Amino acid sequence: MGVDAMSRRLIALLVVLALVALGTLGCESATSGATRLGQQLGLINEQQKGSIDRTTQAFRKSFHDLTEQEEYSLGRAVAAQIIARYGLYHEPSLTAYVNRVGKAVVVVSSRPEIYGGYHFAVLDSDEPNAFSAPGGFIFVTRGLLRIVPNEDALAGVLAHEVGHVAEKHGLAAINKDRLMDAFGILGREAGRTMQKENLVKLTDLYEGAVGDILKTVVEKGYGRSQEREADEDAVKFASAIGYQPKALLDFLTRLESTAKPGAPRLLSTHAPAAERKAWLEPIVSSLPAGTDPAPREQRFRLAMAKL
Amino acid sequence: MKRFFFPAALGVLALAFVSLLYAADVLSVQVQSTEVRSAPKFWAAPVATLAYGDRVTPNKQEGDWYQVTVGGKTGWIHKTAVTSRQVTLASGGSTVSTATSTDEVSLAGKGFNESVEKNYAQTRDVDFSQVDAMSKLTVSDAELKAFLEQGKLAEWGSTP
Repeated sequence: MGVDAMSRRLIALLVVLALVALGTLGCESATSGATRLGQQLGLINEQQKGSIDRTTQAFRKSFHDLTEQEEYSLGRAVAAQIIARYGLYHEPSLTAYVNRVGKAVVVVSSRPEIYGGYHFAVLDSDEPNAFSAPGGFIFVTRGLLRIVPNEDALAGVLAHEVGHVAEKHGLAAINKDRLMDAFGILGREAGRTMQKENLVKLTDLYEGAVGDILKTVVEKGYGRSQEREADEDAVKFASAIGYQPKALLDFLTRLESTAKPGAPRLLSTHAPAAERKAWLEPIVSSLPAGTDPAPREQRFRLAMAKL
Repeated sequence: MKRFFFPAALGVLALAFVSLLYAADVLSVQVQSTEVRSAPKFWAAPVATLAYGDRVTPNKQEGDWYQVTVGGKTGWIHKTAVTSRQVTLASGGSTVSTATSTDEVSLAGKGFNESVEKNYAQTRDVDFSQVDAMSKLTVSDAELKAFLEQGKLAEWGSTP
């Protein structure tokens, strides 16, 4: 007994209704599954499947809906601007060392895989600070490395920046209207060719988005709750690979004690040291204490001698 | 018409549910490249390499890792390397410099990226060469393993 024409039409109608329902809910993976299912059942053809997938792409709502590739692209541009502003400190063995410490905390982080991988570099600036761009571009200044006392503290600093990337705090800084305009153009143009006029508009929006992120990263700093999240990630990631989580706390105490009255706050784009210690102390005491740091002393000294 | 409503609604829900199940199976690689590893940790030996857009169907999940079989080899990938969203690649693609004369730019299925970035770099005079150099610096599996071992971190750790 075969499926007659009437039943096939009814099933086709139900498929369409399901697609519309799912599409409206913004459930992209479900609709792509549905279109694939529909295709397998022979109810919709390749072309129709393509159109439906492109339409649901248009229902992107927030920075969470940016793809890994898009994040990477934005992050690269932010990184280019950071490098233009501060300059890179070109010391290969120091940079290689920072990348190794960075990788050690990345692999146990909540987001070890990222489109282009995480990359670390040293900026040629005396101002102690650390910056992260979306897509995994992380920077520390020479000024910061000069005051970091050991590898475990460096791991905490880098893990804090990895935390910002993992939680997409940089992307959250993009102006919402700007992002929605970009999603609109991308949704209409998805997959094929783009009119020059839209390329110009999209480039303006891209530049604006990069500017939004840059302003937060190097000037305003992230909000308190984001800073707290990144600090929690910092000690969790660092201790997960065996670094002593208290090293970051000790470093913050050192920052407090070396602060000169009236001088601009060290690590100015981060929360004040006292506040950070307050929210870190209970977490650090709940985490594994870390392995004996002695085996890490010599390589830290050797690397920092290149500063 | 009324008597069709209830079964029709059930039909829609059933189809939606089946679609979700069908979609939940297949994952797409959302990073440039990733290794399928012999064990669920980042310094375990690779058994296969996957590229952006490759599709995998996991055998099982253990914690944050999926076990997959690629080209007959079975191994592990971290969940952050893949997405249940469909990753589409389109073939072809021209650069902005050739396309401006034809008034069209092929997106090559990459959204923002290539064309917009190129246009931005050219029209705003932004230098990407140092970011490119920064991106080329990688820490190999062997380097990572040696670094962790030397520093007595991870499984090589000793308590103070």
